[in-house]
Amino acid sequence: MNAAASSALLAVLIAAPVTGALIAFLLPVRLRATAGILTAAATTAATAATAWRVAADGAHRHALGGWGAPLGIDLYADGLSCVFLLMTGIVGLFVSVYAKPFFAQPEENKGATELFWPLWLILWASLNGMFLSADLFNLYVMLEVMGLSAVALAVLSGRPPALVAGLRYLLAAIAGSMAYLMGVAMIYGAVSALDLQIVAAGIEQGRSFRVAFSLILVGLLVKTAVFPLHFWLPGAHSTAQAPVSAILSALVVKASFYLILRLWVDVFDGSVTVAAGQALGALGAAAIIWGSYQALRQRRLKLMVAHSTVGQIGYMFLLFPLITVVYQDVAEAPWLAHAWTGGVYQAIAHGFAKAAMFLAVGVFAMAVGSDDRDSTVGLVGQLPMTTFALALAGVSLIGLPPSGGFVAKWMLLKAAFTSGQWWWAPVILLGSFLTAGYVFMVLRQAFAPTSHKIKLKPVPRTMEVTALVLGAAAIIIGFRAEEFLLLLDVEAAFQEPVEPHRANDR
Amino acid sequence: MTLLDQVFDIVVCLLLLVLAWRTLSATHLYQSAIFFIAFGLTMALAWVRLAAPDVALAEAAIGAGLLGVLLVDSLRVFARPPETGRDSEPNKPESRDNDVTTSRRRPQFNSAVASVTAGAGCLFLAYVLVAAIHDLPDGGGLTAQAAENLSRSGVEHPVTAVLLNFRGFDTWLEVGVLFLAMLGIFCAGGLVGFSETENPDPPGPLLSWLIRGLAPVMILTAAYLLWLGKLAPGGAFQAGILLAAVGILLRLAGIPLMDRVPRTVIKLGLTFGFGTFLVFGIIALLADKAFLEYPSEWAGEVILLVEAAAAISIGFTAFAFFAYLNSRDQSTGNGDTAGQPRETNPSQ
Repeated sequence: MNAAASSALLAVLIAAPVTGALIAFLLPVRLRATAGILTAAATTAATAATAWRVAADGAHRHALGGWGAPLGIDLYADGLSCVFLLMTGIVGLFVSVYAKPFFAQPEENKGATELFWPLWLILWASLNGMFLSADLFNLYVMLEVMGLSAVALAVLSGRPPALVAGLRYLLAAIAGSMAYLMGVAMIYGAVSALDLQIVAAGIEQGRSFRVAFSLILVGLLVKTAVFPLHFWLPGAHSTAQAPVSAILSALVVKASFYLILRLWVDVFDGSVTVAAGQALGALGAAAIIWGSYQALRQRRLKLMVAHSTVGQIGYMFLLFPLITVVYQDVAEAPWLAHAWTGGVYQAIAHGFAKAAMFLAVGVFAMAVGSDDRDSTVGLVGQLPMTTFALALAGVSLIGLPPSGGFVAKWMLLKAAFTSGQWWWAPVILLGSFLTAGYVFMVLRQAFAPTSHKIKLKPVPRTMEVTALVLGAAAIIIGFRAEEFLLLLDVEAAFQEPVEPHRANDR
Repeated sequence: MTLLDQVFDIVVCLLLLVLAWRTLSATHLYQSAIFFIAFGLTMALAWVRLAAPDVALAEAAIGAGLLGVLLVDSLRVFARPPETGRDSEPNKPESRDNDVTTSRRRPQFNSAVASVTAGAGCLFLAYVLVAAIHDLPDGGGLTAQAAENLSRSGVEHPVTAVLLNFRGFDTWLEVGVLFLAMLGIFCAGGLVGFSETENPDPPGPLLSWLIRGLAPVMILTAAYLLWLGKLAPGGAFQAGILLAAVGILLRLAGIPLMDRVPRTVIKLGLTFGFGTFLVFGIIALLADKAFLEYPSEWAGEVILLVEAAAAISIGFTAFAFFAYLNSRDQSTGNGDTAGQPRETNPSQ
């Protein structure tokens, strides 16, 4: 992990979107979308180049300011970072392409939508920063930038329901940040370092370090909207405008999940316990059931998709009990690779599928003028491409083969059985059934025969195509598991179990 | 530490607790705001006692000064909700008598059992935290490394070296956070017209004259604070807030700066600090160095430039918080000028 190549590309991944954001802000409103899409393309290209370099030469490190840890701040990219960066790059590019015609519609271009591009590009920079930063305090600053820009985007329309939900989102985000910061302050006081690697080496066994990590963990769980801390998510994600909902649901909650995973595996692996792993798994299981059930009950499509996010986040947390095990020999734990692949695949597949779903629902809502589930009757005849996009995303969320969601859920199931933790299996299956319930309810309406043809408002073709591309991506990554695993393997502490702290050597 | 020092510290601690409690429990929001300002000032004292004069300066300027102005000013805006603004704030209690600043529903727990449980929970949490902090080893921080590298940083004050050089990346992003806060206010500003206040009373000739006379002196002081950051407590944030104070005072004296400056200049001012950092970062990248790495022989000059840009942006942004809170309520009050905030609105 030490022999990391240096690369300026890592800094470009943060500097490029910020440059684009400032240029977009200074430009007149009519030119902002073009500047935004150009920046998005450049950022995605830089992301692809970074992933390529990391896959070829191993992990990269960039010492900001030329100082290097522990005095300075380092950016660090390994396989896991690159997987999340790539997802952000691809989803971000297509959402940007969708956003241009979307905000050109007069009924959506209200409130402060001229600020979409500066805010979204800064948010993108902070997402990249979350996946790259190797410094506990810098990660706090990234969380702040991410939280503020996400909240501002959520209230872009200026509609009262969005403002109410946005305020709740802001308060939850700030409370989470404060808990995180308190934990970081305790860690810094004790080990005199903020760099993840140095902190990992300096952490001792003991209750006080576990208290500090618990604070950090609780803060991040609020931001990831894990049951029962998800109270802010359905409102904020459903009242935002379609491209923003896609960004919030597909990308923003993944950044804090990534950080939990990174800290759990790389930094605090000596402090975590089997019980803590099981507790995170239990929260995940409860989220799967509760979120999917709530999604089933919603009559408004955007609320349904938002509740579905709560449920799908739950699957990602089944990773923790499966990798946090007491072991004697790595060879005895063949399920670890499955658990790893499953958990990370779930985050990626959900990113593509949920972005596609929100974009597709956005097309429906724009065409019909409402996102009521019953207003989509017979839409397949008039909007076949978008209905297809919704179906593809739904297939991945349910976990039907051959989709990315299938690989994720199948791997988690396999790991649950081989590790002997069979109790997660019924939850995974029940979640899939509930998901199938709400997906098919929408599709049944869309495919229902109608005698009268509804008058639809025309929707720009680009919007339909981008939703379909992302829906297709959620399926296609199901076929590309090998490349994914090769990338994930780079310099990772992954595929190894987390050796938990045993209860008796306190 | 002498006995007198200890007594002083205990008094400050108790005062902080009392002020925090009064801020939360005040029945009138104005009272809360005033207690909050007092809390900020006491907090600044506490930072002085903890030998952190930089933080104390920032706390006094931002925590007590700017936040106090913004709080009191927002309360004035919220004080008179017009009929049209009602439905945009569904959670607001019935407010016929134009006095929503009195929060009639004080936070109440459902029962004694709930409040006892919550109290016990908080006490337990506090105990766990205090015990953990007490048990953690004292690492001593990175002070030694910072001192070792101070000579290569281009400045002589270690706090400035950390903020602007060693961890300049953090500070760059923090300047970005301020910019984001500004954008966030515009996004939330889609809710237009929650007030129809008349123009604030114009100040008497004496006050007006005093403010006009003080403004240049304050700008000079800000420049001095900025330059001082190189060797002593001071720097961009403190200087920026002082600049914002100039703008706020001038506005109160009847000189609305923000309405006279062209929008392009405002936009440049808001992005100047965030952008200058970025330009130096990109130049370093192009010169095959690390992002935000300064050339060692010019480090001091670059830091001063970056700090000056940051101070200007911070001043602009903090003043804009205040100015737009005001311009919005004034323009929507006149009825016929509903589009007026758009004219100076830098979001376009």
